[in-house]
Amino acid sequence: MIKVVNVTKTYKDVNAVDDVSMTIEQGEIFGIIGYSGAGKSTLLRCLNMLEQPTQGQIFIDGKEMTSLTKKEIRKERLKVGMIFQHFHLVSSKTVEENVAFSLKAAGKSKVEIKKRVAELLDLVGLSDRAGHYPAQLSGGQKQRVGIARALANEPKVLLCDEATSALDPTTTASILALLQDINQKLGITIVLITHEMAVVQQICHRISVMEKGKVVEEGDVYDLFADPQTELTRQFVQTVHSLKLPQRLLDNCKGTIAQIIFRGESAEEGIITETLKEFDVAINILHGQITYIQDRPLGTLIIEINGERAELESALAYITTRTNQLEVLSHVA
Amino acid sequence: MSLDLLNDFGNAFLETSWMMGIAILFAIVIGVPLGVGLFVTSEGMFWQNRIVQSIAGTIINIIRSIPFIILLVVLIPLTKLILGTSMGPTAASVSLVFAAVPFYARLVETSLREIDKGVIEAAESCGASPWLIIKDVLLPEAKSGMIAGLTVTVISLLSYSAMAGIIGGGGIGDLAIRFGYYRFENGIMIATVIILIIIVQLIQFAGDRSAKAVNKR
Repeated sequence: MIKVVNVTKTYKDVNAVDDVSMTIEQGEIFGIIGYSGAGKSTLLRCLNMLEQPTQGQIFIDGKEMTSLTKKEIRKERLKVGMIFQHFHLVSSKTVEENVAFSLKAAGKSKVEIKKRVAELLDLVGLSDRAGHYPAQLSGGQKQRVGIARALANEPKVLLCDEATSALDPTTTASILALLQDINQKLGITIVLITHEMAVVQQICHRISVMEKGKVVEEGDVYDLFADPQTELTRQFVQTVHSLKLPQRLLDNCKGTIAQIIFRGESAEEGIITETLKEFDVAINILHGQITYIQDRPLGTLIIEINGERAELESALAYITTRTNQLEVLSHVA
Repeated sequence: MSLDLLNDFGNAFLETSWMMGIAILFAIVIGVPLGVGLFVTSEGMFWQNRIVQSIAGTIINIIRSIPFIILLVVLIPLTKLILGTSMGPTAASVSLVFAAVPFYARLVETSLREIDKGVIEAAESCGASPWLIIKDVLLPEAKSGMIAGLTVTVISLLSYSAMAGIIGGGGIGDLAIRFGYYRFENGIMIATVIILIIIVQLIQFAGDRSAKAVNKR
């Protein structure tokens, strides 16, 4: 649906986006995560040509955006909705008029506009607020108006620029649920940028991690959570899934401390029990957590193992083969 | 106060209203498009154009830096060319138009700058054409500021219109000069000042009220 080919955007000798390529499939919720200044917002704006890439090509639904005239770009933008962190509604227009604006841009008739606005407000659950001005709405309601406006012309793609970053946790959850619903019911491809891993965890299928204008890691959300390849991704994962042991506990430990990551099915098997049966070791569970990433469990367990050196090593090797992911955090001789 | 004098006051008031009305009309009809033009050709906007910016900006700045009293005199030949005379309220309105248009255009531009750039970007992301953005986003969003700016313009024009009395433009200022100043009739001088104060208060009150009424922020 979206293809980004070697896109670079330069501002005064600084590459805000530096030779980025990515492919986003039809119907996907694709996340781009990174800290402020990583270039994710610029990249998103290149997708609908709010920013003209300095180099490279962008294809949306087979059309090369980077080769179109201004007028053609405007026509393509009808197929690419966008929502913003600070909503950006027209303050002098009512909810209804804000949504109607998109339809006016598409040249729809008054009758069509009236009918479609009612449908859209119903979709986002704001039918009773049609005549209100944005200043009279809560943040979550404003974002719903933004979503209705972005969806007005039945776009194929929805771009979300930090859409939940200005909202409180409860409202964030409801907006994310709405986006997920839109993705499933209408089949719209969603590209969202965020600095919050919790957002990615909740709704994204695949993500790109960006730093200094480059993509440093890309993949399935679950794989990235389970096995981050770069330090940056690890930092992001730790913001929602991290185990920290109190120092006191570490000081008192006499054995080897190991962290085991369980993925999917292996989380449901009795690996610890079997290890205890097979080997002459004692296992003490220090900490554990299970995170669900789109209904798939990802477990982390921190254990202390005590025993004869040979037995201990075989036990660790056994767990490693069963789970594929064991990291020895500290050895106490 | 004699009936004659009351009549004079009535006439002076009508003359002032007439020349102000013309100036305000032109300020809106020319000043608004000019202000919008200045804004949409500024950097980062959809019709960004440095040449138009600098030419229009320079002309506006030149006219605005000429003291009104000089403008009055300088424009006498032009007024004669257009109207055939340089006397009377209609003639005085020519220089008022020259003063009002660039002044108000700048105020319109300033109120457009107050609009959050993100709102304009959002409108662009909807696929809206520049004309639709001007009509449906820029003008409604700046309306309150534009009304406040018009209030300032009208009040400045009122004091300018009084100056027009000096070159025989008629109006309240003319009355104050002819009777109050040249004939040392302090009563008339004070009366005109009081009338001007009341008019300014009324304009300011009406302007504030309508600016507030259209502000939905």
